[in-house]
Amino acid sequence: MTTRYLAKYPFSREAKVFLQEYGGNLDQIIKENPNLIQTVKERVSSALIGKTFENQGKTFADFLSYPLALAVVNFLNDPLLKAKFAVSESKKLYMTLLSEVNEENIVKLARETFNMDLIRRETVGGKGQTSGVTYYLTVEDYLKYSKRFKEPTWRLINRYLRKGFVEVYRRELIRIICEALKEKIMDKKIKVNLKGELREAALDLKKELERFRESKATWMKGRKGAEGKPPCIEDLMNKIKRNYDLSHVERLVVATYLLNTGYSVEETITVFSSLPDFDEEKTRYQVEHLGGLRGSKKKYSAPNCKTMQTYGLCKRNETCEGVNHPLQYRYRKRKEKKSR
Amino acid sequence: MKERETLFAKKIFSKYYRQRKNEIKHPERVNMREFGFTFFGREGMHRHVAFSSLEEFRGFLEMNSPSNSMYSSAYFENPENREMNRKKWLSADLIFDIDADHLPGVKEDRTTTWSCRKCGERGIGEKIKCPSCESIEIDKVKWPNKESLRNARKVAEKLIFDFLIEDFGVEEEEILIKFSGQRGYHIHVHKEKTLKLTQEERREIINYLKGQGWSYEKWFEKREGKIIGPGIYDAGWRGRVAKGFIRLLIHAKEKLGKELNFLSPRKIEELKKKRKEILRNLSRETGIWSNREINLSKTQIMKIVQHIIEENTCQIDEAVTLDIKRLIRTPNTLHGKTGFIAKTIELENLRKFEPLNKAILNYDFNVKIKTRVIPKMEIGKESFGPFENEEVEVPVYLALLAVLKGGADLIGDHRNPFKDP
Ligand code: SF4
Ligand SMILES: [Zn+2]
Repeated sequence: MTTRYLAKYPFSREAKVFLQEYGGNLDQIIKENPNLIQTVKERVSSALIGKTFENQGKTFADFLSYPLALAVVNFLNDPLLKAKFAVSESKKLYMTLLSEVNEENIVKLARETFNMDLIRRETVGGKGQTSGVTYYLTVEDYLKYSKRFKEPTWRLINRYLRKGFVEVYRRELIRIICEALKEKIMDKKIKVNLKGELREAALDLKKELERFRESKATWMKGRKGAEGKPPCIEDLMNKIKRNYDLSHVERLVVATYLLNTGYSVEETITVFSSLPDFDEEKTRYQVEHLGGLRGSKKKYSAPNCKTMQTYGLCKRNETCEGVNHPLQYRYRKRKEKKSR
Repeated sequence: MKERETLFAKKIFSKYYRQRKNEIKHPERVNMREFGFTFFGREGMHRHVAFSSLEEFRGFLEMNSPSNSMYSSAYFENPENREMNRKKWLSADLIFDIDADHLPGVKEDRTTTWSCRKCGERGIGEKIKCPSCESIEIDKVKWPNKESLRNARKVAEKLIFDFLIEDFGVEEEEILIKFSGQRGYHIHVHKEKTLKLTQEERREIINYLKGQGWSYEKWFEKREGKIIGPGIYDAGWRGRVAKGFIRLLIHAKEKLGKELNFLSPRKIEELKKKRKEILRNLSRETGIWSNREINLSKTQIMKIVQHIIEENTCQIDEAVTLDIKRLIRTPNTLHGKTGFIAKTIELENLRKFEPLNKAILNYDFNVKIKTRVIPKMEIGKESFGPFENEEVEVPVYLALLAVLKGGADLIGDHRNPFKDP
C-alpha cells in the first residue's frame, strides 16, 4: 500500500489494517511528525466553518491527520461538529474520487471498505454508443445510501432495476461511496479518551466550536422578522438560544413558523443546531418535509393560536390583540407601524 | 358470542391444533420473535410471549387453542421483554399485506350485512342509515367472497412474479405466501439482506410498488425529431410500461378509447391503425415513442405512461410494510373471526388457490343453526344462502364462520360437536 493511497483514502480498510499493524503508539507518531497536530486542527476547524480541507493528499501526515481528527471529533462528542466533519470529509472524498484515474480504486472502496455488493461490467459500444463501464449495485445497498438524495433521478422507479441489481454510473457510484463515508462517521458512537498534545488540540477546538455557536446566535438575532415575532415564538427561540431541550411539538412550531416567514431550509436547520441532541440528518429530513421539499410536496403552515393554547405554548400578551394566528402577528405589527 | 357458541368454536379450534399442529412450521427463528394471542371468552391481546422452539410453540397452541395467534415480523434480542426499547430490535422480515377491502371491483352490497343497534332491524347490503328507524348506529359485517379474494390473489401474483422475483431478485425460497385467514394474502420476504432495511428504505420500496415519482425527463429524450423512451426489454418500470402500452393496444381494441379517454378519437384511431409499427418501435433496445409517422406530444406520452403505471401498481397496505414491529398472523393457525386456516401456499399452487375451498376446516358433519342474516356464499365447493332468520343444517365450517361473525346461533346441544354422528 502506498502512502499516497493511504493519504487519499485514510478511512479505507487498507488504512485501518495499516494502523493496526503500525501500532497505536500515538506519542511516537506525533513526535515523528511535528506538523501533525497543526494539520489535525486545520482538518477539524475547516469542517466546522464548512470549508473543504485542502491538503496534497500525499504525505504520511496527510494520512494520519484523518484518524486523529476523527478521534478528536469523537472525543468532543458534539453532534453539530460530528455532522459538519462528516459532511466535509465526504465532500473532500467526492473531489478525490472524481479525479481518480485508477478506476479499480473506486471499485475496491465500494466493495472492501463499505461492503457493497457491486458488479462491474464493461460495455462495448455498438452503433452510436460509447463503450464504458456500468456498475450494478444490490437494491439494498442502493437504498441504504440513496434514500436521502432528493433528485428524481435517484428514485427507484427511474432506475433500471433487474433481479435485485440497480444500474449506476460512475459519478453516481462515487456519490454513493461518499454518502457511505458520511454515514460511517455519523454512526460511530464510541467514547474516545485523549491525552497529551492531542487533548490540548481538542480543547482548543472546543473553544472554537463555542465561538462558532455564539456567532450563530448573534447572527440569528439580526435575522429578518426578528422584531415581528409573537411572544409564543419569541419564548421558544429564547429556549433554543439557551440550549434548552425542546419537545417534538415545540420544534414543529418553530420550524413551521420560520419556514413561513422567509427562512430557508438551511437557515432553519442552523437555528436548531444548538439543541443538545441536534442530529443534522434527521433535522434536515424533517425540516425539508415541513418545507414541502419531500413526500407530499406540501408546505406546512404553523398551528393557529387556538392549537397553540391547547399545546400550552401560547404566551399571549397585549400585543396579540386581534391576532388568531401566530403568522398573522407580523402583518398586524407592520400595519401598526405604517399607520403610526 | 354467547357461551355455548364460544365453547363450540373453542372445541373445534382445539381439535385442529391437536390433530394438525405438526403442519405449523413457522415462524423461522422462533426464539427471536414476540408472540401475541387472543383467547375465546377473554378480552384483549396477551402479548410479549416468547418460545424457545417450534415444539414449545406447538405445545402452547395445543394446550390453549387461542382464537388468534400472532407473531412479530421482527427479530428481537429479548422478545419477551415488555418494553420495546429493551426488546432490542435486530431486523425484520419484509411484509406485504394485500387486503381485498382495499381493492376496487367487487360490489359490497352483496357481501355485507348490516344490523341496527337501535331497533334491531337487519339485512343484506351496505347501509349508512337504518331504513326503518333512521338511526346511523349501524353494525356492519363483511362476509368472505370468492371474487374479491380472487382479486387479492391476482395482486399477490403480480407482486411476487413481476416485482419481487423479477425486479427485486428475491428467490422463491425466500418468499412465504399465506392466506390471511379472512380477506387477503400476506407475503413475507425473509431474504438475508432485506431484513436489515430501515423504515425509510421500506418506504422507498413501497413508492416503487405504487409507481410513484417517475420523471418524464429521466425516461424520455428528444433525438433527431423523435422521442426516445422505454422499450420492452428495459428493466424495471420502464420495460413494464412499454409492454403495458403494447398490451393495451392489442387487448383493449374497442375499449381503447375509454381507457385512453384523454386522447382525441382521431388519435385513438391512429394508434389502432398503427399498432404494428408501435410494436416494432417499442421492441428495440430503446423505444421510439414518437416520430414522423406516429406523432405523440410530451403531454400525451405523459398521460399514457401515467395511465399504464396506475394499471400496473401493486395495491398493498402501506402501513403493514412500513411497520417493522408489527404482529402478524402465524402461518397455518386459525383466524378467530372466520375459523379459516391462515394457510401457507406453495408458489406453484398460488395461481389456482381458492381459500374458500382449501383453507376451511372440513370435518365431516353438519351443524344446525338459527341464522340472522347471511348473504349468499360459495364455500367448500357448494353454494349457500342467502339466509334470513332460518333454521338450517350446514357444514361445520359454515356454522363456525356464521357463529364467529355473529350471524347465527346454534340449535341444540353442541358442547361437544365431535360426539355427534
Ligand atoms: S395569541 Fe397567538 S400569537 Fe399571541 S402568543 Fe398566543 S399563540 Fe402566539
Ligand atoms: Zn333501526
